[in-house]
Amino acid sequence: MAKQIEIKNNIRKLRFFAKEMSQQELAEKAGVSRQTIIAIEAGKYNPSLELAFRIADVFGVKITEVFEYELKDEIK
Amino acid sequence: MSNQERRVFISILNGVFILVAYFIFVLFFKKVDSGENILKFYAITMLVFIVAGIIIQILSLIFLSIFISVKNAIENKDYTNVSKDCEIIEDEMDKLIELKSLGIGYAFVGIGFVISLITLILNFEPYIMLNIIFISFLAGSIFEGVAKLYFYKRGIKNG
Repeated sequence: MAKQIEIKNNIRKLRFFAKEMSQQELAEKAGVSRQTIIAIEAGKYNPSLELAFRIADVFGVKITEVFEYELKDEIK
Repeated sequence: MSNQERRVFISILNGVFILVAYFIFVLFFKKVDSGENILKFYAITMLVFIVAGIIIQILSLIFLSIFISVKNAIENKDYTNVSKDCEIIEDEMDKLIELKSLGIGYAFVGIGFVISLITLILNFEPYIMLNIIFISFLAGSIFEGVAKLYFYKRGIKNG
């Protein structure tokens, strides 16, 4: 049985440490809309692997520092 | 409300406007009641409303882009990037939302088509079939927009 994965992110924290980078600035650097960054930050949207790498690249960190996962209850 | 949501909202309003206008026109301005000409009447009416819908949609999106860029320029007091502000970026989240809501729109059209076939089996007039198909297309596009707004508000997960 596969377990459900909950993906969390540290984008808000990383933006703070990047001299309080704005969502608009991050969106422009990652090549997406501000709305997508808002949705990712709020956990409403899980980005593609490509976008996840691009966001990590903007902050100059590894992808695992931006996104973390947690195993939840089993899927029936 | 984001620019994408505004665009979807405008599309929904256009769809509702065309649907209401079509009903009003057919109910109050229909001059033929039966015979061979009734199918021709509905065909012409639907074609006119389709073209009108496309024109209204294009014009309203142009006005929305102008409104957004002017609003941004006034708020930021920066008039150098007005053309850039007009652009509405479509990224992977928009495409995923588009894909999922398109499925909902197609479901409405499919249901409408099946109902229209049933009306033919039940010996209703062919123009009723034509109307059901047309209305299901309009309803499909309206509910597609509603689904998009819902996904933008609630968020969307892959898979």
